[in-house]
Amino acid sequence: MDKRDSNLLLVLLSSAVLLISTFIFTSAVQKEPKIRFGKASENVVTKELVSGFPLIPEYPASYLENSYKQEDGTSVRYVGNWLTSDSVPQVEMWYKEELVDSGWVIDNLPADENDEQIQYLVAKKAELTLQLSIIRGKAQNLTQIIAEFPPQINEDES
Amino acid sequence: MAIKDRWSSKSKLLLFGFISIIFYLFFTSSTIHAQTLRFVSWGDTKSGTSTLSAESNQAKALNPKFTIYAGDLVSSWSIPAIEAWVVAVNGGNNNGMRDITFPVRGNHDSGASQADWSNYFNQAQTAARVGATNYSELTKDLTYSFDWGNSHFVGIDVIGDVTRMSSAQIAWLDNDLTAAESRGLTHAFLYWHGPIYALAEHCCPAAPSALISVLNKHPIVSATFQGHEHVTAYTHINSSRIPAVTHEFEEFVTGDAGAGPDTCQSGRFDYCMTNETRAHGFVTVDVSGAAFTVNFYKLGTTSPQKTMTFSKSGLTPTKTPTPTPKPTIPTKIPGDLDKDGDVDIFDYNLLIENFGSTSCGNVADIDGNCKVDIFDYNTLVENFGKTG
Repeated sequence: MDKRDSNLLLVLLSSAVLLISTFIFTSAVQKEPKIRFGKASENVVTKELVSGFPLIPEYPASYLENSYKQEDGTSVRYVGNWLTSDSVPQVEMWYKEELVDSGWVIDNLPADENDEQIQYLVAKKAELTLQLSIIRGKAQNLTQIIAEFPPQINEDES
Repeated sequence: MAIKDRWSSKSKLLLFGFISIIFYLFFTSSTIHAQTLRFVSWGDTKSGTSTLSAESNQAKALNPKFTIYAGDLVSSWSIPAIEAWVVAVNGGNNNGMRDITFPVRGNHDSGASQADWSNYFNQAQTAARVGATNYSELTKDLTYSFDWGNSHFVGIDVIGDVTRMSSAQIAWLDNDLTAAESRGLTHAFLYWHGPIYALAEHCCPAAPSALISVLNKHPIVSATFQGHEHVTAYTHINSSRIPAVTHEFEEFVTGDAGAGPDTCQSGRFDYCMTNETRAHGFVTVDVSGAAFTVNFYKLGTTSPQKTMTFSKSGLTPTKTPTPTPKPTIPTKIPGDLDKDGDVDIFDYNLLIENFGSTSCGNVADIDGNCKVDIFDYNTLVENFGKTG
């Protein structure tokens, strides 16, 4: 084995050691992540609604991406994300009617119901407040429907 | 010799006229281009209408172009309550302050529907009245923006603390600030009810990560103005206050036009007039070019308690051209999930949508380990705001 061969062998060996070390490190990190996403009490559920999510009409031509529940002390917040290929005004018009038919009272309407990019409406039912965000994503020509239930407002709060 | 003298007099006259015209043109153009702006920031009256009335007359004497009011006009929404607020904001003597005031709702105003609110506040008309331009709305009279001189103002309907800001409001804010930057403006002043960084009695709900990411992305953001906490105070927001902050800005809490005074918490403010004076108050902001000066006033005292001047040198945004459609290119910036050449709110939303997915080839799986997890999230957040 001449000097050139031994150098090549050294390089190959070093690369192998580096690859194995990287693999072991990555596996260890994946098994015991040091950082969690969001708050400690936040759980992300994909493709289904998280337990306790308030009942709302679901846009028929949409699919649920995920939902989650955030608990911060005594307050609870629910968020659900749906995707559809329909336009923002189509989705907004549908929700405006369906929410009313389901007993919700529309509180805020978008300033421009023909806006193709972002629309936002707020509806109330009993103690619940629904913030409905309808946003056209730049990717994949999809519209994102985000239903958020912020923690309840205590009117006595200073 | 006599002829020479006569020509000399004519020449002098002509020269004097020419210089006068030059001076006139110079000063006229200076006035047009260097519009100075004074506005008032206040909020949170609830049942303290006599305080609001007195503050109104004090502020009116300072001759502001307009005022921004960060919510909690009333204790609980009713016609008599809002009528009492209207009388008070007009100083009890129809001083006209209501006509130049841009309010947003607070949690105590939540009983007002959009229609109720619009019966009392037509923000587009107020904008026209005070000479503002580029008025825009997400929801009628509730979440809106406008320009005045070199400054952009954004009022957002957040009924309570900052965690109540919706996804649509954050995405709209991002688009709205991008548009303001493309118009070549220098400052953006944002206002809503709950502080981004609480410093008194509502301590300490964390601001949504998406909101901080949007603020980081826009150097035009100079300061924010909130209420909810019944103090008149200031905090410089940087990464020591909120770790995710990369674009520093100033936060003013002006929430004591009658509802306080309360107490700022030790270690959470840079200046708290309320702790020093135990008095109600408000601030004025004078904008001149890249600088703005904030004066803290306590009720009943005509000279300011504190004056602070901030300059944006080095942070002034450059005017960006209108984006033109470009062909899809391979992702160059880690986190640019929609491959449009930047890492923005849409990429963030895509990641959140796909968070937890374990399918290989997922668009949000940045590190390619067949899982959309915290490591992908961290990569996206690190690159938020970058463009290719």
